[in-house]
Amino acid sequence: MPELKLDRITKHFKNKIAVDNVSLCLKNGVYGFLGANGAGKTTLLRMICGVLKPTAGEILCNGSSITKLDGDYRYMLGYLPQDFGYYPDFTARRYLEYLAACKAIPRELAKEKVQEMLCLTGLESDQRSKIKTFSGGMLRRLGIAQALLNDPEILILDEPTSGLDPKERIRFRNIISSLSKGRIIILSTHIVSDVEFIADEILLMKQGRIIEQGSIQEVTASVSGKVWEYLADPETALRLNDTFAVSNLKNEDNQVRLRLVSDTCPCEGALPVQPGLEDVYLYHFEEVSEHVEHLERRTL
Amino acid sequence: MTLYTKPKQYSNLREEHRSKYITPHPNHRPPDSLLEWRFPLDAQKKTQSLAVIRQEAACKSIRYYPTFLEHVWNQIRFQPITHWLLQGSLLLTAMLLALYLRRTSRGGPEMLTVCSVFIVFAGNICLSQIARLFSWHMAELEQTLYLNLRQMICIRMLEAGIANLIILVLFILIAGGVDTLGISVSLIYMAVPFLWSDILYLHMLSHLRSIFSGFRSFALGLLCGIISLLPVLWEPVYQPEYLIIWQILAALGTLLLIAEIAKLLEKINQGDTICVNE
Amino acid sequence: MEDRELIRRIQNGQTEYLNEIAGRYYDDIYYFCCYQTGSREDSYDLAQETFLRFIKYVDHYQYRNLKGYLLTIAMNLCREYMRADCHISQTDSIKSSDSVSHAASLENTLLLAGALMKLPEAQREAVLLHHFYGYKNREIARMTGASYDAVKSRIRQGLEKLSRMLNPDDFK
Repeated sequence: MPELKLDRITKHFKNKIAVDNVSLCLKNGVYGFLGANGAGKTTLLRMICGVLKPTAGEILCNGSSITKLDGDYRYMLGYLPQDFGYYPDFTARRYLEYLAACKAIPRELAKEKVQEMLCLTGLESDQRSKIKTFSGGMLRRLGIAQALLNDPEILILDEPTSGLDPKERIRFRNIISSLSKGRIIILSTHIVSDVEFIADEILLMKQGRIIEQGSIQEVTASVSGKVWEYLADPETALRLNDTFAVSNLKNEDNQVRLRLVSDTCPCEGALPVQPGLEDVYLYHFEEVSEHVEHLERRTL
Repeated sequence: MTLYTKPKQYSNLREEHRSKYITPHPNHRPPDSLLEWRFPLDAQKKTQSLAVIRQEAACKSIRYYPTFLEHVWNQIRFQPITHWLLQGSLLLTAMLLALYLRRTSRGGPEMLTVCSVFIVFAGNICLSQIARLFSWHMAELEQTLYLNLRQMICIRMLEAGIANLIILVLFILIAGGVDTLGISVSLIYMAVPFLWSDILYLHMLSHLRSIFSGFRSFALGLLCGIISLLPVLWEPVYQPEYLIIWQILAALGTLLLIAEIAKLLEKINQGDTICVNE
Repeated sequence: MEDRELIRRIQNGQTEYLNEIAGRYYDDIYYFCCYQTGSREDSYDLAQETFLRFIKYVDHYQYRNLKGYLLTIAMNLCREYMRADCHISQTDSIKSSDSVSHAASLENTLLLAGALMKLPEAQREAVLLHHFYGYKNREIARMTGASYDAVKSRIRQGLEKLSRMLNPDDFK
């Protein structure tokens, strides 16, 4: 059972601080890193994978520095980068076989594993097609398949659901939940619904720092009493939408039910409600995550 | 192997021991083999013990350590077939051309030029396999594999080095036979363009990575090859009095090439932007 | 199936064959631990621990002599065990845990075990491996990390002491 410890990790790029003094201790379970684009999630994950070296601080796996563990650390790692790389002229099967060889999986076992992963991600029927013919969703699934090939103890997925359709997202969530025992899974996303149901712990990242950390209950408790619901006519709804952070809008007959995040009561008649993860996100980032934006456009 | 050898001393010992201590029980059947030191085990405890072992065995995931040669073979195994075809056809053309020149007994500079240009091409085709590691956003992923980017590059360099050496030896065998020049001299003439085009290629790779993908890297290789044609435009360079310049260039080239390789590996190790997708 | 084949399969990921190895050598290891430590009870744990350690390191293991390798692990565990608790000579524990029914056939065992426990650890290891398990002096030297001569003299001294203990009159 692995244990990852990040000790005051900082990463500077030429003119900005991407990750600022992050200390974490990760044990078994699914960790959901939530944050807007540019919050430093990808940089942090790259450092955990050993692709980038931290400017300061150290990453320890089971007590030893990951640079010292070197191959032994990478042996237990599965990584899906944000921009997933592939050789377009390889078939899906050959690509997975290549990575299996580089991940030091013995050849006989590799054959089995490749087949298993192709089934798991539903790419069986396309295994003989060249990757360049794949759609975005298929590519993402291939990426997930390669990350899982070596049955990694530490699985790091950067924006794993981008490009997946709703059905594929559900499949992905099921795969992750089925894997979550006895390993560390780190998911980074800016889509709240990706991690809402599967993460054991949520980490909110903003400007290179972890601003909130804990179980969904703990994290949502931090904004309790700051989420309101209000039934308004469409005109008022538009006005409220301009002045307050709105996490949800629903048309009800001729009126609009608004869900607002605000430190104080936004308007007379608004009722406090139980906060959800989406509200927490909105509270901290003052912008809506992708799926709400979509809702909003549809509603108004 | 026999499990229970019957050592002499011990049998003696047993005899004595029996005579001394077992006499009080005359009816006691003396043990007829050394199995006597194996008293019956508590079956239940043994089963328990084995069950714990079974559990551990089930959880065990075998860590496989591929040998260096397996790594090398894996890298060769997954290179695209086009690479081998290109390499093979190039080698074939070069040899045919060299043989033709030899037949028409136009040795000397022409022969050297042909050989050096083809070696440059061969070298660049090999190097394009290193550039390929960086293409299509693969670098970031490869850096996190057990066999990481740095090791892959080293292996491919080694492969490229061996392949080029074979080609070089072939050419020298062909050219050396015709030429009045000695083998070491023709080696220098051929190696200089090869070294410098490799330096150029690697330098571009570590500094202008964005231009590297698919055919663009191949085009660059072609460009390097053409640059190596430059000596042809000015034939007197093969005169003996310029040999010292060639030698200096060769020595300098070797050093620079080593420096370029070291720099590239160091950059990867530091996790520079080179292995991160933009 | 031969040991070599078992190891090959295990190292190819078929870990179920580890059980076959455990089944095959459990008794050997158990008896070794038993005579080495003098504790009948704890030897089940020691034998178990030997196989658990073997499982832990099996990926690195290069096949040579499997039983010898297991015995070497057991030997190191027994050394640790003796050091940790300073168990002094415990024929009683061999006796105590046993049911009365085996008493007669156990008599020799007990005498032998008692005598063995009085030997210094290094001599006991050497005598056990040489006479019970049939290893050559050179093999024992490799397993124990001692020199060939040291092994030879340990066996000789050990045997001398044993004979004296089991039959004191002969040496007067």
